[in-house]
Amino acid sequence: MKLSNIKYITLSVIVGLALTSCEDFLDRPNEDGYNDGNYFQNDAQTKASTNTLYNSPWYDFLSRGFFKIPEVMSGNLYMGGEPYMTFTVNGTDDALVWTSWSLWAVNAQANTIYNRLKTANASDAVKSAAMGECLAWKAMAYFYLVRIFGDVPIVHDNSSEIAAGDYNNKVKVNKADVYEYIIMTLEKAIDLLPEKNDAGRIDRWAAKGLLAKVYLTKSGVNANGNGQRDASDLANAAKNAKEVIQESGKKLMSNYEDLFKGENNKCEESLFGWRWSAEQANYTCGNCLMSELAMSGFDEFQSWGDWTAPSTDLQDAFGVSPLDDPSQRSDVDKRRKATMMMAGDTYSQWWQDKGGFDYLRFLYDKDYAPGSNEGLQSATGANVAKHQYGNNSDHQKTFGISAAKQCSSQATHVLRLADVYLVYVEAMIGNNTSTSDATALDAFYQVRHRAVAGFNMPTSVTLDQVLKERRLELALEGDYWFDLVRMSYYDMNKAINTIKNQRRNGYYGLGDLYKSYYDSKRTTWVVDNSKMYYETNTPIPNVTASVFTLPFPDEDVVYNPHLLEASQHVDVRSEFAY
Amino acid sequence: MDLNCSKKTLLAGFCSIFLLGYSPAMYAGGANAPLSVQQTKKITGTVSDAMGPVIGASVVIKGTSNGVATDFDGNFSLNASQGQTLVISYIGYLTKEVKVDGRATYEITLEEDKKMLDEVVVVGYGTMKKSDISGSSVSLGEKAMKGSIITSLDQSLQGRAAGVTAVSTSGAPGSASSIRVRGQATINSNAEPLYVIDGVIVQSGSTSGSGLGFGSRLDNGSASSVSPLSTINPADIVSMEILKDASATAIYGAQGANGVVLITTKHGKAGEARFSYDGMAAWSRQTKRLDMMNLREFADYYNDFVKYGIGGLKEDPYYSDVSLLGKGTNWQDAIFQTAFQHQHQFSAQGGTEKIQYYLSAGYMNQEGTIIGSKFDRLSVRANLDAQLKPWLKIGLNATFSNSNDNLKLTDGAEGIVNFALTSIPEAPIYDIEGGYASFARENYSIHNPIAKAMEQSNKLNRKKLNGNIFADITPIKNLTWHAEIGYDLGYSFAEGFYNTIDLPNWKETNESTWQKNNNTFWQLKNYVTYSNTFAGKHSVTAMVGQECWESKWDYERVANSNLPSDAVHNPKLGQNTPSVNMGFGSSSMASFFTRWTYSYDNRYNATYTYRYDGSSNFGPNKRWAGFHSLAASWRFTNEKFFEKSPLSKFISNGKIRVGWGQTGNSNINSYVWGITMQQVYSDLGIGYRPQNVPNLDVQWEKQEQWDLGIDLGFLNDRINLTIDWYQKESKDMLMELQLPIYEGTHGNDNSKLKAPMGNYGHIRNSGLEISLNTHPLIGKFQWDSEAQISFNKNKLIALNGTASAAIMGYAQWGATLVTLSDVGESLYSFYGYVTDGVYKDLEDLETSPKPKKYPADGNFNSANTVWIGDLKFKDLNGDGVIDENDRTNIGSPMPKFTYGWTNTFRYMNFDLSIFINGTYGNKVMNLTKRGLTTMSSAWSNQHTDVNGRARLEPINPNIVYTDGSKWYQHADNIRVSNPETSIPRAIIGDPNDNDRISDRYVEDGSYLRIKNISLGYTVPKKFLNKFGLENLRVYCNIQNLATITNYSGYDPEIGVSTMSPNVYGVDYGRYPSPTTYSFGLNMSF
Repeated sequence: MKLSNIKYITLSVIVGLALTSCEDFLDRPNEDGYNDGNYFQNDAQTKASTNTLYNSPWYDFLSRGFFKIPEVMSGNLYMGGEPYMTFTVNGTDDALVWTSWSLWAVNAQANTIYNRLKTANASDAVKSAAMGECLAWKAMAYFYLVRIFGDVPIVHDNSSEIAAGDYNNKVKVNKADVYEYIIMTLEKAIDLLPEKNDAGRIDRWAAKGLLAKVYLTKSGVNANGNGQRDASDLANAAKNAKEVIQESGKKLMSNYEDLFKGENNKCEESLFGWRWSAEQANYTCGNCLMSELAMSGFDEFQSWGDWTAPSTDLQDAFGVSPLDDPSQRSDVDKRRKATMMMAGDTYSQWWQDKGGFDYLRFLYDKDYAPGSNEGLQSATGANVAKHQYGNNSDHQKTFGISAAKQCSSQATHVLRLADVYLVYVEAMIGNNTSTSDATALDAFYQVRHRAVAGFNMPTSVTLDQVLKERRLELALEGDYWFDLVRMSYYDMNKAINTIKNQRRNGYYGLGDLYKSYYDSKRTTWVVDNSKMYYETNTPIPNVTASVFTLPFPDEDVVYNPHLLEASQHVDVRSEFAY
Repeated sequence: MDLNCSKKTLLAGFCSIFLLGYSPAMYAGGANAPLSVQQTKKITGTVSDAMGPVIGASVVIKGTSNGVATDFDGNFSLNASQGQTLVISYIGYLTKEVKVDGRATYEITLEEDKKMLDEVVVVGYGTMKKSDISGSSVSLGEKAMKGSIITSLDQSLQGRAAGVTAVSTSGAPGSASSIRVRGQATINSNAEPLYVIDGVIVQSGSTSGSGLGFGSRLDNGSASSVSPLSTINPADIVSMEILKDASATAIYGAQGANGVVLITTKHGKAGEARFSYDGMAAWSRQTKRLDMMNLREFADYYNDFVKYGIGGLKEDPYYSDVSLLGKGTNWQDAIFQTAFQHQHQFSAQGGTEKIQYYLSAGYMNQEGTIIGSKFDRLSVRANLDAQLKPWLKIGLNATFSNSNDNLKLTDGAEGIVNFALTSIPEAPIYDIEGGYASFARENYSIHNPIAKAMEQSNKLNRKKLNGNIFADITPIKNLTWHAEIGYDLGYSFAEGFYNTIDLPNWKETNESTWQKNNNTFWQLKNYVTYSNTFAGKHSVTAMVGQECWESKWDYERVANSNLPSDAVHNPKLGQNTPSVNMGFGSSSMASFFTRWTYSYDNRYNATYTYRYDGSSNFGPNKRWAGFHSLAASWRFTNEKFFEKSPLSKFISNGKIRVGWGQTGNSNINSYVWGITMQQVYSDLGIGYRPQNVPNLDVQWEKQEQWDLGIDLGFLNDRINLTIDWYQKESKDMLMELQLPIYEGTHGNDNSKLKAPMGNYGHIRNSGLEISLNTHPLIGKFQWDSEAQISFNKNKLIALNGTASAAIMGYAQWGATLVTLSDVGESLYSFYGYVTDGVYKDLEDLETSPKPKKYPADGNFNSANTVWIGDLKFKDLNGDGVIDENDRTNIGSPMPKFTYGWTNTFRYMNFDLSIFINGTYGNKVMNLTKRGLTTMSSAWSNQHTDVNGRARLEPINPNIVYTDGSKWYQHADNIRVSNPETSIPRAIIGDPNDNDRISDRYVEDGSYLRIKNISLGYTVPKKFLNKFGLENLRVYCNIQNLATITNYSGYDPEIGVSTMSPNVYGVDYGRYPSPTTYSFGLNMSF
């Protein structure tokens, strides 16, 4: 009997213990990282809370849409078989869907961080700067959205919309109103941002530069494809651009090619930039453009850009041709080589451990480039040079960290000072055909003179000159398509004809041409016109007004059938506030 | 002649035996006539069992109505003639037949039918007499597992138990099966049942490739082919009990919503030590090949592109004379191999009356049928039971296993299967020197799929120690206190190593990744059971208990690349910047529970259970929840009135059951109720970002289930029939809120804002289960038949509380929408367009509803607008435009019913078992075929089906175009020469999106499979004694011998996707299940 008493006591003790300690036993917030409650406690933490907006949510855009939409569609980049070449993109296209994911994720995170910052335990200056960065990136995301998809819904505050449960009833808002929404977002951002921020971060001037570009784009939005651009928008574009040019104290980088070198990741010309990191912990923080755009074997990691080639039309714009003898090529524009590599090009900043990079040697010397594909793969005789950092040893030397699969620390410039210079010129031309405004001429001169040494101060600049200059200056930086979209707002026919008149196809026989040249130790350049010529079999795509707006991803249309309805006018300034 | 003759005799013999078994009455009737004239004599005898005489046993002369019942002393007497057969039967005993010979008295001993009602079964926190159970459960014995070749115990559930659907995720060695008990009740990543081994909850740990440490190398779904149960040796298992309805699972409360599988391992029996050895060797192979183009066919196909100026392709001199070409590389033969496996198991058991032991060691080694895949496992087990005092029994169960998987990425666009199928036949596998060949042409290169398979290794080592220590204390009569500490310590080490690739057009540095995961789980439980019978008829059992558990996990991951050589796989040797990652966390649960059962006179039974659970996965507001269940049953065959009725002769057992209960699900990640700050790197420094939208009110998923069942035994239980109907509703289903893209909740995990986790879904499953077990033949030639069929209907009742909500499932990498679970429909229904042939000519194009790529300006263009020969899709909403609104439900991957049928025959020392299983009415989305019939690239091999594609021809071949253009550039001069085809024209870039998700890829996935045939021979004892053997059985076995199906892919058995959550039944290069031939022996001494 005694024994069983002990048993009963033990039993009751165990049961009792279990009961009393339950709540402690069950309370387990996350243990291996911070949570919302114990972060945002000082200035340093608060400042770092916006770092994510400089890379990770943009990754799904960078990885495909960033070059397929603005560069392939615009005819700057050749990708055989791509629906972006032929304007046959569907709502199920991977790159399109990923683009949509990414841009909306930027908006969602900017909104969420912005709201959380309001109650952060930090100094007003730090809080305000961080909130300004949120709004500036939000504006950038919307700027891409409206130029890619046209009319889009406005998601002002994700958490409250999700809590309210009406997220499937949203309607598309007229793009003119979306532009107004971007402008009011940027106005608030300009209020919040400091004149000078840490290197690489957005400051007030960057936001103003973007505002200028938004105004310029918006100016034609009500012209219905054929009409005058709005004068006050143009004036606002000019005003903001001029302030950046004259008051920011920022200068263009003196050598164009240096802009794309890793040591200049955070140069002052880079107003908005994606600040990637090759740290592998979460790979969406790294830059993957190299693997998409570089030739296989260019560095030690996988890349598959052999066939993603700067187009014939872009070469035409630079005044070069793959049929030109490299030794006699009239290569007056430095930007050509910084944008694309062609026969005869060498680059001292890449492959430094092997004495520099040589394009033809890369294609034909297996000892030199064992990982390359055999011979020329590019249909246009050129490969992408922009966005490349070289090989892993170059990366390590520049960034102090090795690159990894689809991950480098190379920054991507999203808005450059030179872009703002040209925005100013275009805004000053406005509805005229040219301008002779002194500031505008100087802005144009500074951009072009940097690349073309022999270029002298012009006496006037025409709209077509600016547009071409923009194309060359910003080639492969995700911009040219949007110039055409902007044009389509006020002159649809010109936009359509620009594309129709492009040379979007590749060449035949360039491989043999390059190889025999290389084999002859670069002495004999023989173009056999019967075998080496521009391919004209592929028909010119049918271009209509509808190509300037990409479809919404199919899945959203399932959730929200309103997206197939006509867009609505929303008075954004009364509906939304910051 | 002679041979033929004897064959015929043999056949006739077999047939007559068969007939004899099937209709004994007919046979006996025929044979009786001449016998009746024989002299009958009086015979007497006694019927007894192990305990003594059996009263009231029936003794009948076979084939007649002539019979008697035994008296109080078990005696009987009746008239019979020599040669007749006495049939002696009694409820609860195996029926026995005795031939009447020259003897006058017969001593007959009946053996208890172990399968019968008084069998004690495990029910969770105790055992119950099977006859007292009111809930619905199924038992699986050792035999079912022994009959087939299984490496993982979940595989043994397929087709064996009504209401349980088991579909293997992959045909890889040791791979997982997904088990669904009574339908898909949640869309949570974990819809698998709870496994409990000897009372300890099995920790499945992480089963996704990324959770284990392989990143996306095994695909990026929430499931992978890695089976958490493959670390357990099925040979140690004596029985499995699958609890299906809520009244049975409710005792597991919050963890029981997906069903519970209770597993009991072998324990020793008192007696001399008994040793056994089981061994098996097997060969597996893939028997099916897809009909891909060979080199000649591919060259023709390529030349067609050139001929019609498609995609600006140039003439390729290599293909210019097709007759000179060979067949090229058969990539399917290159990736599939005949795979060898072997298994060995030693065990020893025995003990005294007070202490018993069971010890075992097992080893298995299995190669996969896709080159490079492998699995091996070493396991040991020790089970001890000791009755230390009359009131104290203690026991220990412990098992340790060490397993190694060698995994390959087989599924998806980047998987080996897809690579092999799409690699063009021109590319060679090896170069002249025997190294891997690589292949490049202008504008094209491939990465050798064999090199991809062999040079990238994903090795997984898992170690697991689990078991428990328990004490049963009986302080007073009828009261038992069970105290138990259980543990499960798991360790996994994922080693990913990519060799240096140094091929002419493919060069890569090597890369080494290590991830080590540790899991520590302990559980403490105490329950007190009181059990007594009052006044002989009122039997009461009451149980009250407590349980708590804690699970802790941590991981560390290191990766680096550019090692000096491939010889040593250590990330430390890498010369690039290493990446290091680590994390840890825990979850816990505390529970109190009780169960009351009452049984009156073996006629009326009732059970009530209640469980109160608290889980750390929920926020402070909603942490605790209670779960009730009630069940009752009525054994009407024990009623007096029934025993008197004539039916009682026919129906030997009958029970009606009704049950209702609640169970829960707390299977979500911890701390989803708050906001986690995720670390992100950037060039501006390390930052932190809010990762998710919080939901403080996330709470228990509660499931309610009704069950109505009947158990019937006929003819002394020679025929057993069980029928169950159920309806279960999962309300407040835990899931991520399904949001449109513009809320920013889509994309890479590290990029998107995670949608809140909450209770957003409501699913109903209802169904019918029928099991029929019969013993058509007993005696010398025995035949047992077990058949089961399960019907289930699944319906998503509500979602998010909003109208247009739906759950989307994607093919891979999240961009191709393939399934849409819409409110009011079955989960995971395929979603897409309905095809309607091809556009035959320009007129057809102009008069049909307008597809998206219809040129507004009327300028048709073969490369970028819709064109003749493109697929026509149905304009379902009739608005004249073919757009997203014309998509619809194009089939459900959920079967209408699944079935299994096992037949076992025993004759002399031979046993033969044939197991057939299958599904009916489910559809499969064949995305493998999609890639093989897309015809949008000239550099991807295609299925020969595309030879039947829409072929264009000129309406008027005589027109000469002055601008030099060809007829195929003029839409008005083209028609399709084979307008009945369902396959579109070949066109690079596919402007009309012919390969959009449509019914073109939906196939009937119904199948009937001869899952298992095994033939065994038990060597007679008299031969064995010479060698000191007690028992020896040799067998051979064929698994997946044949599959009858209309499905055109490798294998219709497609279940959960390793590529993507919310997707089911999508075949995108799934590792097919092989056919396996094995030989083995069981030996004891």
